[in-house]
Amino acid sequence: VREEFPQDKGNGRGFQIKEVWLPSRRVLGKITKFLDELAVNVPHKELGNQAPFEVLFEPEGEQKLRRFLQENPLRPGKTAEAFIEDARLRRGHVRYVEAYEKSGGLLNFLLPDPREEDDEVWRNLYERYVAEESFSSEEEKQRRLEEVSVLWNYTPNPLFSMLTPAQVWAGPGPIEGELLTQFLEALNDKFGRPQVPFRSEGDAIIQSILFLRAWQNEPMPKVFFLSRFLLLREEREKILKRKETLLGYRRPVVLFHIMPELDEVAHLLVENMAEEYEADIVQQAVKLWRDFRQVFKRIGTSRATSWAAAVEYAINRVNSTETTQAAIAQKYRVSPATVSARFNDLEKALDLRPLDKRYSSLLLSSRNSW
Amino acid sequence: MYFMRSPFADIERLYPELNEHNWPDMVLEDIIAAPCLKEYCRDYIRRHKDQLGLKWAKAFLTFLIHVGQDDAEQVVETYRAHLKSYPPNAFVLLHLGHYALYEYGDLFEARRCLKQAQQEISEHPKISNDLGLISMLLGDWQVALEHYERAETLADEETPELSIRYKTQALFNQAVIRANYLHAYEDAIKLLEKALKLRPDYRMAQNLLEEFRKRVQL
Repeated sequence: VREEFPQDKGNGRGFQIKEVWLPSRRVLGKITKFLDELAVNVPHKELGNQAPFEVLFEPEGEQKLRRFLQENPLRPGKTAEAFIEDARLRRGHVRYVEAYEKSGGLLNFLLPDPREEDDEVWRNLYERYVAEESFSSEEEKQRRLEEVSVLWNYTPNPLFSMLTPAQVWAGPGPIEGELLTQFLEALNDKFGRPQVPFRSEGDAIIQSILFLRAWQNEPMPKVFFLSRFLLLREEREKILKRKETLLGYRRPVVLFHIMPELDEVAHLLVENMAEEYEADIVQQAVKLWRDFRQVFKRIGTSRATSWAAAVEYAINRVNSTETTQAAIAQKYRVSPATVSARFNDLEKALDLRPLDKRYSSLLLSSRNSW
Repeated sequence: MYFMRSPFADIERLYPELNEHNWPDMVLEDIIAAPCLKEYCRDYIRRHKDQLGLKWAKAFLTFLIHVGQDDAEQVVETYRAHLKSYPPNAFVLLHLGHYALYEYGDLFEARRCLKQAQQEISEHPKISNDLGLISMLLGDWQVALEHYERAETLADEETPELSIRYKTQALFNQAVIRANYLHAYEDAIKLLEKALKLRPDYRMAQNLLEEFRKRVQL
């Protein structure tokens, strides 16, 4: 399919490609959706280096945005009303079900539209933790359903090319916009000039997606050999955090799937870490403690506070977050020597390493050292 | 006066002797497939004989003809119009999944059909290979590798010709994942060498092996 590509003048960055080769006509609709999602997430000088979705949280933000839109025309067919509606943040459900309606960006634009009935991650979570369990009350069941929804929000999902539904909900940023332009050019070079004959539309789609997957995973020397996938995922994660902060939403710590009955150390970890750390880090800490309990049976006479302090220190170490044994020791009112001794037990028993994949939220958190 | 043409007029012409009694044998005779699939169909007819019958046989034979002609549109149409209401059949689902994937690029529909087929006939290398490709397209490398490794094992139970085809396909795709997505070129080279030992004229594997060897040397 060769199509005239709508040039987007309204989002600052602008797409320069006018004609692209695409494996299927239906992909065009996804690109238009992508541009709309991008437009509300790109910061502009005229908006005080804020993105349209951020401006709407300011007093008289809507008027400011309307003035901006008068001077910066939107893509053909898009009204100012529709743009403002796109930019307005709302969070109607615990689950980011809106992800099913989004384009999913560069990683997903060649895929068919995602549908809830095709979502195996949701189906598995629901069946395992809701349908197959018995609850003493409707409230208990609802609470579990909410917890499962939170788990789904932040679990990489093949339906979205291994982005999480929350990252899909957040939408793309300028880096992803540029990457899409680059990819469309690369796709054009690969299959459009001269046009490669395909056996069927399906064949063209498969070859294009395989090309995308290899392209998204290439290590890029200019950015410390990170892949494009990691770059755009990190950008979406930052946008997600910003949007959740503006909505006053703090991701809750969900532990029922890690440790159904919390022991004293797990309670201490939640109590002492929940305010200071993000939910995924607290969950990793409890997971680390659970794994340690499974391999190290001789807990001995050490107090729960000593173990909790050592776990918090360990989780900082695997995430390369700056902290000292003394600081953690003070927090839990134990001695630095105790933290050191118990940390050695943890390190040896679990063979902990820096950026340990089991417990590190690698590149998902802006608090990581890079 | 109008006469409705029977939807199975062609089948009635091609199989004039087909009747209420011999339809199971005639259907099984015309299935050209791996032995395990043929055996599955025999079992399927036995299990569901009360719900099936001459009408089903005509629809199934029509489906077979369209599969033989590689006519995706008619395969899907025959299923929707005449076979959908019968108990799920792995042979039918496997082909629907195949066309959803390779003809229309509808990964989710293909996955749905193949998973349903898997519930009927759990062990088949073609299903594992196709599910592997879908996972690969969805960026789920780990699951894709699991499917391909499974396909490689299951292929041993097929006829020698099919076994080599399924096995080398599984090895080739494992090599692509290991190299392009996990950047483990040495592993990929070993997998391609294994595939070429089984099928020395596998041109795509030869080309990829050459490319990966050059990369490793660089």
